[in-house]
Amino acid sequence: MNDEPIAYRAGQYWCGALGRWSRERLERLRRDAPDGLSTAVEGPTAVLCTTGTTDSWSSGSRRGRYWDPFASGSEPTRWQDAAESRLAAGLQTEPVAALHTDALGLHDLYYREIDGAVYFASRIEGLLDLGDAPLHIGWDAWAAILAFHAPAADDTPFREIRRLRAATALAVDDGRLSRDSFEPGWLQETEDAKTTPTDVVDTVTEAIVPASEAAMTLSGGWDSRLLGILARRRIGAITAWTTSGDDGHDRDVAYAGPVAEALGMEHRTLIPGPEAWVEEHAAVRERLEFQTHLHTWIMPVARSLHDRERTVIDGLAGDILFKSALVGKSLATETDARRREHRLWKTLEQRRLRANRMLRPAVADLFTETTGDRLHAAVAPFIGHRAGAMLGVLHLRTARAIGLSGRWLLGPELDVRTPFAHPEVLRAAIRVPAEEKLGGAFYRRMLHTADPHVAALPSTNDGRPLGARRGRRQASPESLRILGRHVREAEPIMALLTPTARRAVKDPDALALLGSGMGGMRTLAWAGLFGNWLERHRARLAIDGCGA
Amino acid sequence: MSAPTHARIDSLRVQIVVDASRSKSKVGPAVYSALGTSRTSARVAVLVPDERRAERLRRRFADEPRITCADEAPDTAAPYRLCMPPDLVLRVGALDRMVREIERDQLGIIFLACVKNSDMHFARLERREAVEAAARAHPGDSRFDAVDRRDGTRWIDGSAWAFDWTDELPESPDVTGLHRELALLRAALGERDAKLAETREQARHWRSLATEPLRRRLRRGMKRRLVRILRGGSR
Repeated sequence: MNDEPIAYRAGQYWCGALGRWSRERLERLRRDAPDGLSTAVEGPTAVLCTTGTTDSWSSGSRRGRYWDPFASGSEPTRWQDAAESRLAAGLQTEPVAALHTDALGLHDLYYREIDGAVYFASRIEGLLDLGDAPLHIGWDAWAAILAFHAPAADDTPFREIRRLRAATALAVDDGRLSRDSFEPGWLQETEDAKTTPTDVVDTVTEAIVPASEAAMTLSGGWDSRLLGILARRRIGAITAWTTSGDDGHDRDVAYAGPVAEALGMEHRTLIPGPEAWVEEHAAVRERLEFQTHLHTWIMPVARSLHDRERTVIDGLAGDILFKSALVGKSLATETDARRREHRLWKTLEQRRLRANRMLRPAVADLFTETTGDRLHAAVAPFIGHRAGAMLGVLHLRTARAIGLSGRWLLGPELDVRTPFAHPEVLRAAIRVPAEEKLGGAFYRRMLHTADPHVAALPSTNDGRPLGARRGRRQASPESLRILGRHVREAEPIMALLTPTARRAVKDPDALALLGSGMGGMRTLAWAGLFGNWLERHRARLAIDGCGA
Repeated sequence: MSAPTHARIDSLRVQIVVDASRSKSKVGPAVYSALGTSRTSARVAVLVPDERRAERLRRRFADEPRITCADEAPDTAAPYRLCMPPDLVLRVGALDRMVREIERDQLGIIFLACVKNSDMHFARLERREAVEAAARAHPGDSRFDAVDRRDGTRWIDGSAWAFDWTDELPESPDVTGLHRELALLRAALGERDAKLAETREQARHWRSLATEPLRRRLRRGMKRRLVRILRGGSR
């Protein structure tokens, strides 16, 4: 097992306080931070410390700092500007202190309110030991981790620790804390049938920051392929990296080679050993702070990238924006906001609760209700928009579940560039009529526009039958034994399960059966993650039940 | 002629509990598979908490006394209990195989996990004596753990061994013609039953005559003749 600490080589760690902060708590926050922390801002109502650098903005009497922008562009003039047009997190220092995240909620900005002050950090762990009272299980978050693969809205696995919502600032005015949200400008966009694939390809190309060299993750799908084609126009030398996604099919490995060859890229393929899940799961859980059970497969290739590369281009969100991934016809064309929200819940939940045979029925019912409420809280600001379903997937799945791997497995060691996560690209995606995206029709035209030869190579989007999943590393006997142990040693989790499921996690034959399909594996992977989290934080937690 | 014989009725071996309380699947395929695919004598209890649905199912299965529909399973003397969801149907001979397996190894419970893509169902065959004894001995314990310690449990692949998925069954064939034929056969059967009853009556008459003692018959004949003479009839 590799338990090297996170190295903030490209990305930065930041933390601080807002409101009536106490020196003693700030010292605790600094004590638990990684090496290299320095103070960027210190005032009576706001403190910001970081291991990296921040940029400044000012306009009249307003001024502030921002950091880790997803998009390049001109200097912001307001915090809302920094959040939207640069997709940056930041701190307004004048006239009032206001801590903000970006307008899509891509940044992990966690905070905790104690005695009239807000302490914040880019990692949950930085906030764990600030207070003297025990922490509690964030049951809403754990229900959402099962249903959606990650917590929703402002939830985290700990009830007392929140994550700042998209397009929102925490402000301190006259010693009083308040939340200030704004409506991003892209919600003013409407569908425009005149939007062509060439327009979109040009917009995505513009979002790729020119460089002399970079690496990219190349799968068998369309996002990395399109970025590969376009990155050649902006970046000198590109090395493509491919790995096995542990999905039991391994089509990425088969399809990426010809794409890299056609693009004239150096191509490296890394196939992890059969026990890679066993070796990496603990490190991945720590890095992702137990917020999803996805992504363990990427860690071996991430380590190789850490050693050899500095910048990596990743296709985060492309399929959601231009292929209408997850958003099928009935959801894309739903015109009633309330029904759209319900369909979105079903799309994201994917029967993980509705067809769950391992949870007690009362627990499944409670989780269904709470995840519906949390989804509502997350999507209420934009679900009425025509593109509300796509925005919902971006906020709940891309930002909270999928984006974690770029931020915390590839990064912060690497400078991870995600050209699709750009406000102008998002605006373009909203302009493309939803019906044109369905089934990948528009995306095929984009690829063809970019490079007809590469577009014609086989991909994972071609709809070939998959057959049975084979040899998944996460379902090896040793992986299942570890998952089973983490579940059965956690009484609060055993209490969620039916008597049959409780028996199953104690029997190797039963674990093998559960691991043979997604129906059992989903709940087992979630329960194993949850059990491991409880074990890890037992001393900090006052354990209470979920109420079912 | 001897009285009509009936097939020998085995004593009840398995109570099959089809828990439909949380499933929208059709109940019929699971219920009929439970009764129609094995030699083992079985009864079915369909669990439905909703009384209106239970009543609807009772009407539907009214011609089959081996099926009950209620919010809990009736108490029976069956030594085994199979708990299954309506989303599964038993394959031919599966129940017999399961009973043989649990008897051969004197297991407490056989658990069956059926896994299909993102869906999964559990079923289990319990030896009731084992489950009840474990519950008595370890009232506070997780009952299946106690059964495992006392008699042993076994997990098997239900999809490979015993069950198909209800939603994968082929579409039911159109049986309108068969119903019509059945009605004709029933009518023909009614006619034959009537004829049989008449023949039986005749047979009973001749049998009674054949078995009447000679002296009584002679006496009856004499009486009849005497009556005729007294009435002035022919001799």
